[in-house]
Amino acid sequence: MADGVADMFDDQSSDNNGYSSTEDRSRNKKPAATSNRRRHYSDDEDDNDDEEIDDGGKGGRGGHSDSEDSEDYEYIKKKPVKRARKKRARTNNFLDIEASVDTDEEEDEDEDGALGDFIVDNEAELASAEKDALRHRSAMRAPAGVFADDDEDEALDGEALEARLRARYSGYGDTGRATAGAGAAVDGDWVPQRLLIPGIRDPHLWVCACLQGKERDVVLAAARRVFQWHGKGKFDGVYSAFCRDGLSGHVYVEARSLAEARDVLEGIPGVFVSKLGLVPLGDMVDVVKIKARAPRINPGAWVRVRRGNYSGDLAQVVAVIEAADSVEVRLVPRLDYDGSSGKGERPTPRLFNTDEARRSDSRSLTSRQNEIMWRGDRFVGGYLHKDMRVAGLTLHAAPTLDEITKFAGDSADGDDSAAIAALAAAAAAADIGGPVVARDLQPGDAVEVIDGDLAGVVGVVSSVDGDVVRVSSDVGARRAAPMSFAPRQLRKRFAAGDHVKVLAGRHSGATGMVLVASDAVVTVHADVGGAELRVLARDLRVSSDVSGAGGQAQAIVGLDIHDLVLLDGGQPAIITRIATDMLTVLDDRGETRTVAPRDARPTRSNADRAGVDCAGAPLRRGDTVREISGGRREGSILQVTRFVAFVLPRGSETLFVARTRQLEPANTRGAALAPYATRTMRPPQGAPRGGRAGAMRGGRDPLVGKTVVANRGPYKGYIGLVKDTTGDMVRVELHSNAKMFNIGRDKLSVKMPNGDTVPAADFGNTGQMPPPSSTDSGGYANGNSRDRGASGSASNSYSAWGAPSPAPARGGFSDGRSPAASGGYAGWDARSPAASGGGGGSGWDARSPAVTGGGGGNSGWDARSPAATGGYSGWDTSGTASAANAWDTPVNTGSAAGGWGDASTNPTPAATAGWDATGNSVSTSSGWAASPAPVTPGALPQTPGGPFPQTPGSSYDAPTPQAPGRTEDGFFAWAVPRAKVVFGPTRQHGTVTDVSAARHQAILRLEDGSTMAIERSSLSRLDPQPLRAEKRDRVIVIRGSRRGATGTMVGKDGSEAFFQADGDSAWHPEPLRNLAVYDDNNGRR
Amino acid sequence: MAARVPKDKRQLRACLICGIVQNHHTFRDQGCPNCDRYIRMRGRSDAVTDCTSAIFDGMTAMFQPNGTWVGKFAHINNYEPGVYAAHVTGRVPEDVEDALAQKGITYHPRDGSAEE
Repeated sequence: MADGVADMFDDQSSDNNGYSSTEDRSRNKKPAATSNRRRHYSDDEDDNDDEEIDDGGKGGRGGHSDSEDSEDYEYIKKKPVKRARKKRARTNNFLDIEASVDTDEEEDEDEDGALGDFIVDNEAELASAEKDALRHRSAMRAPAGVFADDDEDEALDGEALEARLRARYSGYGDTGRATAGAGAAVDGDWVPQRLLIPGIRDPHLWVCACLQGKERDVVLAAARRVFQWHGKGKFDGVYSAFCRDGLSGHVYVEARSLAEARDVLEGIPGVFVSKLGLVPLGDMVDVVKIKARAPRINPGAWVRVRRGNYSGDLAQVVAVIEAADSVEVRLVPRLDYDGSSGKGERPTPRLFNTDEARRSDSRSLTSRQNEIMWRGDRFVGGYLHKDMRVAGLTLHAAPTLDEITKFAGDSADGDDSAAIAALAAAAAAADIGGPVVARDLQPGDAVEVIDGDLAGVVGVVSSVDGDVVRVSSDVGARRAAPMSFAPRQLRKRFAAGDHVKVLAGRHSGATGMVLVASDAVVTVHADVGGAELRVLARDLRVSSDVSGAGGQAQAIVGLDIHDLVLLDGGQPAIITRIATDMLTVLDDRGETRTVAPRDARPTRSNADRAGVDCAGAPLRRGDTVREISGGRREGSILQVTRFVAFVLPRGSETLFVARTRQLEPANTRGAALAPYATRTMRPPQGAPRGGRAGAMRGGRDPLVGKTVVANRGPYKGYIGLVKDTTGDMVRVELHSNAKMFNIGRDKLSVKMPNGDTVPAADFGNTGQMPPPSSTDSGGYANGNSRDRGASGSASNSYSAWGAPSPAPARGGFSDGRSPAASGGYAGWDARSPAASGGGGGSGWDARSPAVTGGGGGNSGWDARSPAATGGYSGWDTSGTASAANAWDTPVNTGSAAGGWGDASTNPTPAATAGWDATGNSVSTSSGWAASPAPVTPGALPQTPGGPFPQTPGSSYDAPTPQAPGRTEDGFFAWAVPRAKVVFGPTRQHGTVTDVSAARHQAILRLEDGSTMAIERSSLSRLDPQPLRAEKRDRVIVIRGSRRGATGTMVGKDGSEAFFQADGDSAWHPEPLRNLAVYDDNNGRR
Repeated sequence: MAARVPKDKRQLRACLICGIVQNHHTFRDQGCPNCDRYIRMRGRSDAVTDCTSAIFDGMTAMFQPNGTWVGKFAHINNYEPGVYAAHVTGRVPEDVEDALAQKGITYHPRDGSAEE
């Protein structure tokens, strides 16, 4: 090549235009050229009519040889005559320019290059500082559209002029140097582009839309047109036309006027001349600078062949033939040595086999050094080397290590890992864009910079934003600000001993410990099987996971063993095994199936799914259940849907599937005797979430599906099946003729399996514990009775409230729509029979039971609060009925005083707290006590419109407790310090250390000692629930009259727990849901 | 002048030194109008292949080297009128670059890497 190069340079040839002669000439001419150049540069735009100047100028600028100058000169001679006018104008400011520039120039000449550079820099600063101002001004001026005669304008605009001249002169020192050294045709005055901002005297840039893909044709056509007409008086104001590959559908014309630009383009196919517009001065640089993003290929990169015999095959770039758009790649050849391959099938890739080739076609086999030529193909080391056009390749093939191993050939199998490592390292290093993509990186990943100035820097990913990865590293003690990198510049970094997980490739999902972390290939000791895996670093991530037994791995992010998934058609199934790309599931029919991960849809949050057991009680995950028939297998529920439960038998690994209706709680002795006990005694856990969950919890009415008999009305005596219920209306399908009709709940009795009938209105309540000291006022008394028993004033209030409502309407005020829904819900469910019976349907709207509803409403209107107004807080959590009694009392009996008294003597902190939680403040009891409104409580239930129908006036301004966010309030209402809760998607445990119901804030201490805050906003996500107590647990009462009391749970019966308060020898029944595990250590260990 | 415009779009190549876009055969037959005094490509197909590139981005047809801001910005305003590429992928071979440097000519690659 050296010879070739030498030949290329004419100075070594006999050509007279040689470089040396040019140098001589320019040296001789230098003084003149310098002075001329000065003139030339000062009036750059005008073309000198004067031949000497022109020559000198060209000597300075271009150093064209004489032979070409003649041609050039002719061209210049043909320049328009109108320039003379400009020249005149320019003399006005010529002196200024000369004066300001002269010093620079002299310095240049004195100190030659170094200072020249310095000045360039200096001026760069100046220019850039002025750039904005200039642009601003230019942009404002741009629309004026007068360019030929705006010299005066420019003269006025001193700063702009100065900036422009500085820009023009800044390359001067450079030029001088280059000229002194050699001909400057190649070098020219290389002014940095940042100094070449367009001025207002530059021609304007016009943009025109054209057909996409036609840009180059348009430019070429315009060029032909212009050159053809050049010198004939046309297109004199057109300077250039261009297109950019990065700006498809646009061509640009640099011209003085719109008309000229249009003339140039008009009639060229594919141009839409009507869409011709001016490019703002400020945008010109951007337009010109735009560069199409050409993919870069480096030797060593992996590519894939797109078409032909090797379509889809992996190839490695051996060399890039820069000038041509092709690369030399090497491939594992697919050769058909003896023509045995059938038509249409291509031979399997195999390294070149000389013997076979010789046997098949020895004549065409030639070798040259290490190359073997055979049938026109070139083979090196068994690989086929081929020149391929870049367009025919897929760049960034991102091969797996498998493929690389295959590519490396059989020889590299097993021991020869060095070859693979080398290949992979080469791939990782060279395959720009391949090694790491942004999505592979996560904050916290340790990375090493492998490309760019900062190569070798080690840091930690602090954030990933699109294609920008910010890495913070502590280079040299002090922590630098995060630096931004492209993902391709980074490589994941691992240290021996890291526990990692393989994300992709053949070993995807495996976990193990890093043994060796060489450059790009990491050797991992697998947790399972103990094999040594070689994995590309980009496919690894630090992980604490351990893949399941038998080499199982988590194939899909987000799926785990024992997760509930939906198969096609919504069929529920539980994952029993996860293989790399297969899931083994047990479906709802008890069949074990193997499905692809994509066929198994993860279900939404697992938290709140519930089924219904044989008794209508909800079944939840973790419940211990037993089949009521068959093998009476027993186990705990791993997953449950509405209809089936996946149960893990105790002491066994084999799951079984059961219909939820075929299950009963395993630990409820009384279940068989009182089949409906669990329904009411077992409150739904947690606060409602509204919507589906709420419906599910509030429950299917236990009446649905029951056989009932009408005992009043036109259907009296008919037997039917309850299909649906709404509030107090029940839809019944007759057994006899399948007729449907609606009937009031109170007109029905439920036929129990044992032949008894139970009034439908009481259904679901009656089975539970009869109130110990109850009057026989029906089931609805029961919830309160316990409390009452505890409070000394029980009897008093009891009589007061039992009396007035002979026909308790369960649904009365119970439903979610009532203003107290938020807090009240909990208490409601806990105790009130109406909660189950009402199903939420009735409430204020369905207040048909009206006055009698007052009875049902009691518990809702409960108030254990210190003041009568506390009656409102009765809407809240405590949910006991005593204050409601107070409501009734004025109407019914003379025991009003007692009723009120009862309320006031039973202050319940919870009530007030709950009250606060709603954000309202009730100052005193005066409002109620004084105002006449409450004295007419009869009106109360009849006024369904508002939550507080008889708003007593000024003392009660904000009567509307917050209806939304009841979940939130639920938590804040029951949360008490030192109660243990489970929360979050992982249901982790924590201890409430502090709670402010008023501010909707709670502080939890997690098991690991850290603390976290729960706020209203995070509630729905975390969904904290009290940690359910087990026998002999230390517990705290979180709801009800004993709220805040601590003690021990001595046992439980179904959902009823027996609570022994500290210092008390007696046991008290307490709904299990009212108890949370108490943390004596307050979260500390 | 019209001769400076490539006749067709096939085998267009851009000079790695000055960026002028011509057909391959034009380089071979006539050389580079700007650079041929220093690097003779005329009649030397190898030299044409080495010193020109078929991968280039953007085309600028410069009609009047004087007064064009676009040309100045692209550093082609000292060259012949003609069609130039905005960016040319590739560099001249190192020996050519060395030879240019020996003559005091700073080679500015036109692949965009030299930009600020």
